[in-house]
Amino acid sequence: MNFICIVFNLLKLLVMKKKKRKDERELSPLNESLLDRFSVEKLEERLETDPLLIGQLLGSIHSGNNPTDANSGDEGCCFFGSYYQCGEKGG
Amino acid sequence: MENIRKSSYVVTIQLNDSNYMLIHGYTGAMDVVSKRIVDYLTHYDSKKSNCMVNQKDIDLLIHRGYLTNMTEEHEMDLVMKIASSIHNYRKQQTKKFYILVGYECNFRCHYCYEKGINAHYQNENRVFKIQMVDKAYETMSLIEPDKDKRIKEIMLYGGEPLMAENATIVKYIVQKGHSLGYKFGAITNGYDLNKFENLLGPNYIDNLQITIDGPKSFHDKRRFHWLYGGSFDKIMNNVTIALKKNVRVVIRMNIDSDNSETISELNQAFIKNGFYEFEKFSFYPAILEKNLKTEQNSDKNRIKYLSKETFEQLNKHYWQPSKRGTLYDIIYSSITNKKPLPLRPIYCGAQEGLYILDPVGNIYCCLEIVGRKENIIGSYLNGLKWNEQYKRWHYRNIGEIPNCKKCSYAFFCGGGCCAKIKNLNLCSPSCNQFPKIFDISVKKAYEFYMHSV
Repeated sequence: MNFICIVFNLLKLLVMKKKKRKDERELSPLNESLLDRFSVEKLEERLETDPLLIGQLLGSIHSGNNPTDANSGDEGCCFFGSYYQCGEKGG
Repeated sequence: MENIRKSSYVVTIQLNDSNYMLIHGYTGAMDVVSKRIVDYLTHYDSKKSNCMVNQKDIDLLIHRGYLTNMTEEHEMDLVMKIASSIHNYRKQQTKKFYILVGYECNFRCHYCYEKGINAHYQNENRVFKIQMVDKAYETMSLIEPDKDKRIKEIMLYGGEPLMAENATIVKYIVQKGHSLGYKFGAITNGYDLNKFENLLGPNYIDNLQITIDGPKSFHDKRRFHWLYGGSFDKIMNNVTIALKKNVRVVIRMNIDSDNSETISELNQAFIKNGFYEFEKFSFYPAILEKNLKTEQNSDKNRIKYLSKETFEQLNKHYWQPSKRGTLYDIIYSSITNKKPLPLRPIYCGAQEGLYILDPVGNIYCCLEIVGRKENIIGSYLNGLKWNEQYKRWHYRNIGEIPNCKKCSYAFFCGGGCCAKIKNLNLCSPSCNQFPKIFDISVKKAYEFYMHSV
């Protein structure tokens, strides 16, 4: 029983330590950036030789942002809430 | 480290007392950082920072783009290249078509941006004729020969597209479109919708945006039939008809300070009528905004505009994490999927692949400027022809707008809505309080993210 308690407390300590270390981090990336895939030099070089490259990379995550977005697939104008929306004809 | 400087494209947002969010304007990076890092970055160029930051974090700041060895000019040049690359790519993608059935409307809403345009047209040209419908479909194939790149939903627009008087031509448009593989949506006031019951359903018209501006007492004062007055009860009945036909119905409520307090009351009416029992029902409030026509329309003085900031505070109760396409949703998705924030070099489809065909044979690219000759981008009356306006709209991206190409927010706002720029000067941005809204959206998205983890 004592052994189980010791192991449990050790584990708890480990988790707390890990959490503390995480809290102390001063810079925590939330996502990838374009530069995770390219260095700036490589990005520029590729844009010279393949000007559509970035569009291809971002195309899949860029669609559907906008009310009048032709690439928004099944959505039409004004079919979105919040900010990318058309004005006040309103039907 | 001598040539390193702070990037010109860093957005800093305070999340709470101790944490900040750094967002990079062209790499799409998002990072939660301490105040010390923000201070270090803020004073980096003047070398006045007293903060000591460890080398690992400095390397990360460089890797994520916040510190750079590029000059201001070099960075701006890169922004232009990225903008042009994404824009060119998107222009090769799908095309969306609208058919402007007719310029007439049976409502007389004082805020309508189309007010008065039907007077520009002779009676015989105000509504589509069969011959012009055939030409319109041929034109769609000419604009985009690859049928897989033509979006399979055509939107019906007006004036009021679904007026009883338009029933015969709408039936022709929908049946012909159906034979060509299209389905339809409509932006309608919903008043005469019952006259189109046979066309409602998943194979024909299966997507409607209808505007209701508040509970009956308010709506009837603002959105009324020019001859028969109040429209609330009739529209509510028609919404039920459409939902029972398995049609997707989105209700839009145009908000100013006169009706901003009635959102919940209207929502209660929807609950009472059982609309939420249908999966395809949804509702969103939209802010009334000044646009190009505001100064020319004396009736607009009757609108008590809300600031976007106030509206967004009001609207936050209606934010749903799953709601696709909102600014909040875009940010939230980037965090949860750990992908770079999407970069948008343009504001909307008007600048790349949206075409509105009118009954006269004119082509427009933006809903808010139809019917005004100076905004025509092309014609299909005697073969397909484009004019200089087409180039102006389709070349506009943030890399081409002097103020945008040096702005940290540009890739997230896309340069703003062209229809809101005075004199349609497309070389100008339309910022419209975007940084404030971005700030609110980022905080909200991060808050939701933290709750979810």
